[in-house]
Amino acid sequence: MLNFFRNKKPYYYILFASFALALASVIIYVSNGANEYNKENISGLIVAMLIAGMVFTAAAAVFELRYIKYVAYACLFYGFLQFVITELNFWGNFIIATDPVPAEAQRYYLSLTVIMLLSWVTILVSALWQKSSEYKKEKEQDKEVAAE
Amino acid sequence: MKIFKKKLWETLSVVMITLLVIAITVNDVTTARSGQINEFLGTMSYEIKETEHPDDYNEEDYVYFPQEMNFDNIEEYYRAVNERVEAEGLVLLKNDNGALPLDKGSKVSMILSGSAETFYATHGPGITPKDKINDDAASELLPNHIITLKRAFEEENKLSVNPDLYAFYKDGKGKTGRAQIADKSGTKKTFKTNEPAWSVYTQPVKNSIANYGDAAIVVITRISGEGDDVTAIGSDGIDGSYLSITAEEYEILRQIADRKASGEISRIVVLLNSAMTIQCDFLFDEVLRIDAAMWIGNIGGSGARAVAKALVGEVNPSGRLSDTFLKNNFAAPSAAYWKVNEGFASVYENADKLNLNNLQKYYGVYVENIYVGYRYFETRYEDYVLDRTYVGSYAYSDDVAYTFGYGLSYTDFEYGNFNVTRNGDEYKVSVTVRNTGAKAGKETVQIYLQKPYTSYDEENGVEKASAELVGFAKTDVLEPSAEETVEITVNREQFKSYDAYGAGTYILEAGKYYLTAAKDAHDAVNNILEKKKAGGATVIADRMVGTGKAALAAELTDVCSVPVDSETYSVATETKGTGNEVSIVNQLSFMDPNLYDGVINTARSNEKVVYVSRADWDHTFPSSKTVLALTEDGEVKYDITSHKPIVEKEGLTMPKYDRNNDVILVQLRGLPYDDPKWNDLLDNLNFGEMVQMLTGCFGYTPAIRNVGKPFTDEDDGPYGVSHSPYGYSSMSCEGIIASTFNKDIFREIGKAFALDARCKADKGEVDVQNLNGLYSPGLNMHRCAFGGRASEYFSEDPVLSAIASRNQIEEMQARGVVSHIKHFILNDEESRRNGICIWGNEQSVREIYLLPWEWSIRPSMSQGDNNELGAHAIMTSFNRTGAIWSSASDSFMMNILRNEWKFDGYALTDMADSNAGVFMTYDDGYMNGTDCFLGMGSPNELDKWANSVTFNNMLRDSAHRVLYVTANYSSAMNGISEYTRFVKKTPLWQAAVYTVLGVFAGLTAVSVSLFAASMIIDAKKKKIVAA
Repeated sequence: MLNFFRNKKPYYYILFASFALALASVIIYVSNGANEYNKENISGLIVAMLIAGMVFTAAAAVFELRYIKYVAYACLFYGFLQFVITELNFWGNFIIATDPVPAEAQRYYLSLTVIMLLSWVTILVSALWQKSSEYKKEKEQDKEVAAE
Repeated sequence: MKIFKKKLWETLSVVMITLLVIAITVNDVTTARSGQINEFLGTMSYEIKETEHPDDYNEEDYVYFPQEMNFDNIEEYYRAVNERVEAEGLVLLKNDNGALPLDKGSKVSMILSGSAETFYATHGPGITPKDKINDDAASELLPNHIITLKRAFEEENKLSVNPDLYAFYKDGKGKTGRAQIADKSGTKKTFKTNEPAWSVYTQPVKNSIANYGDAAIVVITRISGEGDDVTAIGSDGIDGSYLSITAEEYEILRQIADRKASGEISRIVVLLNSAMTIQCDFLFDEVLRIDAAMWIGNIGGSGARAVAKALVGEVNPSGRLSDTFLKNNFAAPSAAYWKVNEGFASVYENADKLNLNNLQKYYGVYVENIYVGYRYFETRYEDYVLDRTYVGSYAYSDDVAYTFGYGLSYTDFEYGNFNVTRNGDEYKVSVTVRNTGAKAGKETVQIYLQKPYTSYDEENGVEKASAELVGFAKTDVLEPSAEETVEITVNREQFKSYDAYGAGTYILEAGKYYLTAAKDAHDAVNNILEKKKAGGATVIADRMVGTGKAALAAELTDVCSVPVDSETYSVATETKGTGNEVSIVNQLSFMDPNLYDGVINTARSNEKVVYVSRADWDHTFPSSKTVLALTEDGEVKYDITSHKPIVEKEGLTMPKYDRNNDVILVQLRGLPYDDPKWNDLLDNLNFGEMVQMLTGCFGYTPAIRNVGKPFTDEDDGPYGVSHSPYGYSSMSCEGIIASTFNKDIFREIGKAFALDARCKADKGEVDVQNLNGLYSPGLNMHRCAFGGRASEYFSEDPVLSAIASRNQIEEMQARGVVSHIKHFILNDEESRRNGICIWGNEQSVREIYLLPWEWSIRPSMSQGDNNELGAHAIMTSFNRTGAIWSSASDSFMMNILRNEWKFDGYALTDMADSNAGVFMTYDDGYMNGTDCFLGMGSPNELDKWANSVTFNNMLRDSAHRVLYVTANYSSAMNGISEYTRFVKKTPLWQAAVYTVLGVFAGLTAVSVSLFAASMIIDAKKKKIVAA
């Protein structure tokens, strides 16, 4: 078991970070909503996308296939964008402060936004890193084959 | 095959997936907000097609609201109206030794930064564009430009302005930024004046004053606006209030006074440039040697010309104060509450324990009862003069600088031939006004009522003010020695009082009533005191401030023949004789802590809130904090929580949908609201269309094609179209409009707003202005000096507000511009306005705060000749009434508004599409009489209630109201005939979004397919190599 993990590249471990961030996003979002004002308004689509992203991230970890990471990325990215657009007015209240949002609510919302953003960024980084690494490996293999 | 290069297609696939996800999201956003995008771009999701017309078809027959003015001539007209309003609205407060008017051509120094940083308007173009400021009288006045005081002074060489001092304020060291500094939480601002100190003035600037010393014109400016009340405690005013002058201002005034003493300056004139009541104690400070003062309010785009004309005597001031100006703003009970509670909004004592959020935990109490503005000062004054029991001591002159209705003129007027006659329920008051001075001018005659304050009232907590404005009239221009007799009708209904704790309805009581013709509220009380004295009452003469005339007051004893009549006005007037009479009973116990179990005061067990009462002034005046908490369960928990369960009403059936019976909206134009044909039209709708029409009203109401409902375009505009690109569109603030006391001007304002809204600009890049509705007028009250939105509301007096509002509305409605009066209800301050709980008692709410709405809406309160032209739309407010969001209060929205007043229009929320507005929920709103939500729309949000029969019926009622108002009162119907059909059209921008989405979807499919193919080929290749 230990050997299994010892042999893994860094992009494999990034997967866990992505999974953890997505899990944290779901838990925080479902339990507290987008912000203190919007606790009751939980978007099913956002939750579904985050869960789907987690499932595909887990599958990518199990099967070690970078193609699955792309699917996970698409889900998490779409979930993130939905989160941003459903809370467009919250952003508006940051900028046009006729009725300003309290600082603690701003901090909470921004933190959740960053967590969601990191979840899709990390899986994308993992996928692209894996892609680069595997193509490099293939290229070397091709060279070896050609040399033989 | 190179085409199947795996790495390339993989990279492309990732890029295309990213772009596709973004495109899908953009499509989601634009679809949901298509109405707003269409409005912004001037596009439509339908086009109008005409079916075959009969031979006698005449297009003009279908122009229901003809356009009276176009863009080429609107500006000149609008500027003239603004100037006229300011000319009749500005109030001359002080004019010692005939300091005003100034000689034409006088050389003047404008003092303080307000001379260059004058405040024109809080809404619209007045506040923003520096490039529209035009302060050079030698230059041509460009279209759309705001006329500054300096420019107006120098036009036609009225006055010559000290250029060095002006430059010092405009671009030099004297330039200041009035500050609104946010606190750490980001939700509270501190208003500061930041006037530069005298030490900042350079010597050349100081020296320049002597060369322009005919007069020092001191411009004291205070800004305010939406979202915040101004700072009562912690500002840089001498007493910590933003509305008192600062130490810097005082020092500058003192320096100017010294120069007057030395002869460098001949006279000192103060202009108060603020919609709020600046504290006026300094005007009485002998050290400052101030000769004259004028309240000019926020002057709008062209009001400066009127100010200039008034200063040189080309305009004779005839404005009368629409608010009481005080020597100490905290002397008013509403402001005293503000002081002892350290602001208007307090947090419930147990807010943390109950886990209340920012939209639930704040409250404010209207402890002042009915004693708003002059009602407090004049009543307490009369009680003191009459030495009533429990009156305490009272020094009227220490509190009041200039009372409500006060105003000087450059001439003098005398009243005579005062007469009151009764004809049924109407009292006709007539009085002859004679100009006894040397200049021509107008006079405002004010009629005040005093009701008897009886032992029944004391026992039952019914309050009566010593003077209530019940009517007024303005004379024409009277030349010296000329006279005019004015007649004012007072309806007996105005004599009623609301008895919340006794009869639970309106009552009329036996006793002595007084009507008096007066120059202001204090004059009215003095007249009545003299009348009482003449009738044998004991009046302590040396307690009187000023004198009165008994001959200008009438004592009425025939008003009510029984001790307490709780029958006559217990039935809603609009319903009398209809067979469906509506009884007026207590509706607002849920917002009176003394009648509502959900509120507790841990320091007091019986009377949780002490309301100010003339039964005991000293012990009821706010002197300690009003600390409230909520009970942990029970009705308050239900009231303060959003998404109340929908209780299905018996006897309702699911509405019919999509009947396609060919009935369209225009065919129902002119039919009564309850005509059965409306059902045929409503049957053509479906749930989705109703949701579309009612949830997405962000400055418009959406079009519904299959019933022929056009898109209607609205804008904010309490005193002028708010988002107009034109500088001229700023009007003087509502307080100045009210202080004209001139019904003709109120009507002219309505006309000007309507014509401006519909002026249809078509000037190259200039935005198009073709509106069918305005969120105007603002109709909340000036209950406290620190209310930040004073510029959008008329007055502290409900009757003046009501008459101003009703006249304006009728002229707007007559021109197809739907007036959305705002904000219903009790949004009289801005502190924590999102969700703050407002507590008060029913008498004060009905008599002070609801009355202007009642007069603006009830058909029988018509001020013109068409009683259909009252308000047909309202905007509700952000605050709660008690613990319930105002727009979700069945008592206000249904029982009072619709049942008692017969309001047949629609109720639109204030900005609901924000996170601060999340407590303003669709279900709570629609279930309680709210019809439209000011937001971007929510196509699916209402689906969860789609199967509720009751919810569907409530939504259908809302759709009915919107359609009814559009059909009958909106200029959007112009050009629509029974031959008109609305055909679906995809706007260009939407087609572009669909195209981009399709292209990205296609490219994603291609790149993913090619990637897959390349992988297969690659795998096969490797297999072959391996083999």
